[in-house]
Amino acid sequence: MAQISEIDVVGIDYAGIISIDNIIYRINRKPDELTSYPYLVVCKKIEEISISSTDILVVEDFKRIEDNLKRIARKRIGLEVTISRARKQNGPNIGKWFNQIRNLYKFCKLNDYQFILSSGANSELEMVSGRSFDSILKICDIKPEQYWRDLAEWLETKYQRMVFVNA
Amino acid sequence: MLKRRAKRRYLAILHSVHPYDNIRDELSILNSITKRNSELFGHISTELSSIRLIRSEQKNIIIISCLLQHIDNILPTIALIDPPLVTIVISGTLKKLRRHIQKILDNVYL
Repeated sequence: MAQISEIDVVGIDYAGIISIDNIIYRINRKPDELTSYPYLVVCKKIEEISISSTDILVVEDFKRIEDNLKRIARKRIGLEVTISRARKQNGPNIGKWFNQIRNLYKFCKLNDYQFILSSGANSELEMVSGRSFDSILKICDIKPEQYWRDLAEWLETKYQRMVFVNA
Repeated sequence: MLKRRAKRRYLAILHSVHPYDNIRDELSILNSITKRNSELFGHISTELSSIRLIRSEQKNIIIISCLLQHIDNILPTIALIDPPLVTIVISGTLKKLRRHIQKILDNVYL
């Protein structure tokens, strides 16, 4: 499905089974030992953020993030916004959501955080194609080429940090 | 003066098959797209997009077309519909779109 949607690398929740290539596993806590898979440590609440290990913070309330993040989070952390949350909103709230994305992107650029737009999919049917991501980014005044390039570079730095055991 | 037809794009959209009705009515999906598009971009933009339903042979895929200049409004609209829909192929001609869908169906189980 990712291939059809023109997505090169997919991030999915780690459920103990390591499957195919081009997958990065999303985990809640940094593993104590070396792993045979690439992973990103994802935190859903700003209070639970770990300064040393968190790679991605899922943004639900942008205002709270803006007020608190500078004090507690290190630079180059990824701030993730999910499309699945917006999907359930009505028109006016989606309008606000687009504006929040635009502001969050500016905030990330100014403070050296990585902006991440994610589908937040729980099933294949909730996935979003690469071309649709591009259109959403354009509406938010974000250049898709720049966004994908920054994201690839950020992921590359995360890969370099991780040490795998070849499975 | 040259009379040129406006360019269109054809989109194949994957949707869930309802367990009881067997198929989610294609028209209701089209209506949900136009309704959401009106909510997000306004009625004028929706009308100018000229969204059309084209019959598809696959029961979990619908094909729609819209004007090329409005594709960047239609794609986010589809991505922001609940229950979810996925745009799987975009093409400039119906023939190429159908060929592409067939290729996908031959390679993966949808």
